[in-house]
Amino acid sequence: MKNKNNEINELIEQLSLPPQQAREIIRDIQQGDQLLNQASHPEPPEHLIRRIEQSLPQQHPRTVWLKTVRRIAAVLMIGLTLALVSQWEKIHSPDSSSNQSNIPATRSDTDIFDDELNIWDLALIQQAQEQNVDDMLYSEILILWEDLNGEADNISKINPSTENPQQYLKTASVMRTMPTERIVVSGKNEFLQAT
Amino acid sequence: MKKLDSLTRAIRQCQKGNNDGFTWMLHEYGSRLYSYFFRITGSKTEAEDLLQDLFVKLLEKIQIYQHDGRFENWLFRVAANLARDRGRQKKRAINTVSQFRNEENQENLLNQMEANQLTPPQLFEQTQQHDRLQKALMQLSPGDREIIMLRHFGNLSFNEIAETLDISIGTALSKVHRGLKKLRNIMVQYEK
Repeated sequence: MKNKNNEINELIEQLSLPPQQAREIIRDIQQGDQLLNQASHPEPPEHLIRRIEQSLPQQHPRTVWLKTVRRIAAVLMIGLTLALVSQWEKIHSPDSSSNQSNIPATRSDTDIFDDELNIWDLALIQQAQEQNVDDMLYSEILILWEDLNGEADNISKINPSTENPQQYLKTASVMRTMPTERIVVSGKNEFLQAT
Repeated sequence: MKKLDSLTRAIRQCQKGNNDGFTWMLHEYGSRLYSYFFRITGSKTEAEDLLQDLFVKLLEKIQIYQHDGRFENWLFRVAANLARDRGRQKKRAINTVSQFRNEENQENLLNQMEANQLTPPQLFEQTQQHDRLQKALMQLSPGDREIIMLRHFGNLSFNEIAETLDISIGTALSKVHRGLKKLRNIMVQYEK
């Protein structure tokens, strides 16, 4: 009550009301408040309290469930958005072509150990089997091979494990980073050793 | 202090989905809220429906409530909005003086006899006063009635009333003054 009266006084001061009007307002409001405070007010019936209490457990899980579903949906949306953004960046990245294969673009004879070379050779062969061979390069190697070593079929003599000489050469042609002469020369040496 | 602690705990419980919090609120504020709804509608049935709807609404609203120490004001604002929405939806005049008399008088008299252990003459006097107050309230405009009841039951300050009803603070003061003055004048006439 005291707080209410203080509030009225402050408000009247704030609104700069004439003293006579201010007194009248304060009196009327205080009398009205007194009237309401003295009056008895109805209480909620017991059955209503029980009904509300009983309805709480039935309604609340639904609210919680809805909240959980909303949270899951929000997380899924965020995840989906991140995945799409990531995919978009992958596709439109300038390095995307080089990122598609783990095989290095260049191969140097230096600083690479034999084991590593073998691993890369295997990888290249596997890749070659899946790729289209550059026909021009293949023809070039074939001509060079025949100039130096004779018939292409002789390749089986150099490497007896090679059942398909043409596939062998195709594989070699895919190894674009390796100088063609090296393949041919090394092939010739092996041929001479074999004969 | 103890009540504040209990309130804070109840709010947390409600926000975590524990119904104990809602039960505490029902027992703590149920009477005042029911009286508020009853005084502005004048109907027991309406007041019961509104109180039940309020707790359904509270289940949702409490999740976004940020406790700043003015929970009661917030609760009564929700109650006021609910009552106004209901009034708009139904679009019917609140004509409850006769309804109040027919529906409530007999039942209230018996309930209060049991609850308060009053003698029949005392109870009769109280019921008459109760009846007169409601009759007087119903002669005020719905806006004046709402504002007076928000201040009385919800302990809303003039500033909060102005905020809730989207009116200026001067208008809030003027409406409370006018309403209470009129209410008292009507009650004085009844007593004569």
